[in-house]
Amino acid sequence: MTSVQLTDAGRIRIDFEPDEATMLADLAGQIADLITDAPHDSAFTRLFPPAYRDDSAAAAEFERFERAGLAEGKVNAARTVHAAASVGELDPGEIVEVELDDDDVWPWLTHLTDVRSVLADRLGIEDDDSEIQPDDELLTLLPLYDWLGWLQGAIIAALESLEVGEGAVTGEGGEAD
Amino acid sequence: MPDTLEQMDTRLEGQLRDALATPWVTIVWNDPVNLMNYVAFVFRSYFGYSAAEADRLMLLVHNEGRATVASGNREQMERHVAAMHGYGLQASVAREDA
Repeated sequence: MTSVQLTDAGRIRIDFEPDEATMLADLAGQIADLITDAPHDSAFTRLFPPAYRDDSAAAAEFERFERAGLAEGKVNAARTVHAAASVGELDPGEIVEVELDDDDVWPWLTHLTDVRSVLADRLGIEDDDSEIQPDDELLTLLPLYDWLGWLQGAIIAALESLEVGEGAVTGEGGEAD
Repeated sequence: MPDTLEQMDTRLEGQLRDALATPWVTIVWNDPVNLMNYVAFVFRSYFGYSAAEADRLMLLVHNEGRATVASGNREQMERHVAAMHGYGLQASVAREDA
């Protein structure tokens, strides 16, 4: 099972099961491809929401100036996670250790939101009270969606423990906002 | 992509008008994806809010569906909104009285 800890140097260390690391790397690669290649995707309204809710001309102007930079940031974050979580051949039972540099923390946190946004789109999660009844094909996405949220929450909890000067802890995920 | 002079003129005019008019605000909207502790963490990290203020704003987003997290001129608000979108939050620019 994945665990998130603070190292003595105050860095985030995540120990993944090989399957979990592979899944995360695959997803990150897919998100990078989606943002790079898809001309439009239903998840884009979540990844690139309108900056003006009652002025479509101003929203379009904002998009013209900001969209490319935002997309680049999200693709770079996905590639950071993809590179860190990609592992070669492992012995059975071997753990994948990922240590995040200070520069890696935000790409990881933002990417976890981005991938959850795409999964939420596929699962039809529209609001806090959405009752999800995915069909069989999508059923495997729901535990994945929850696990990614747990991972993000655990990283934040570890960072917060650093802020208040506590020792290494295993973080707990938070309630969905 | 470089702007044409005409576009720049239009934009400058808009900025001048905005500077004299009603202030603008950055609104963060509730969404089902982001965790409460992530939203508060973004507010602390990006805006430099105290933990108490970040939690207050996060709970407003969660309970009321939206919170005004910054106010100022339009250009600043667009910068904040772009940053919020970078963090994966749902955010928009609006006039303060809207």
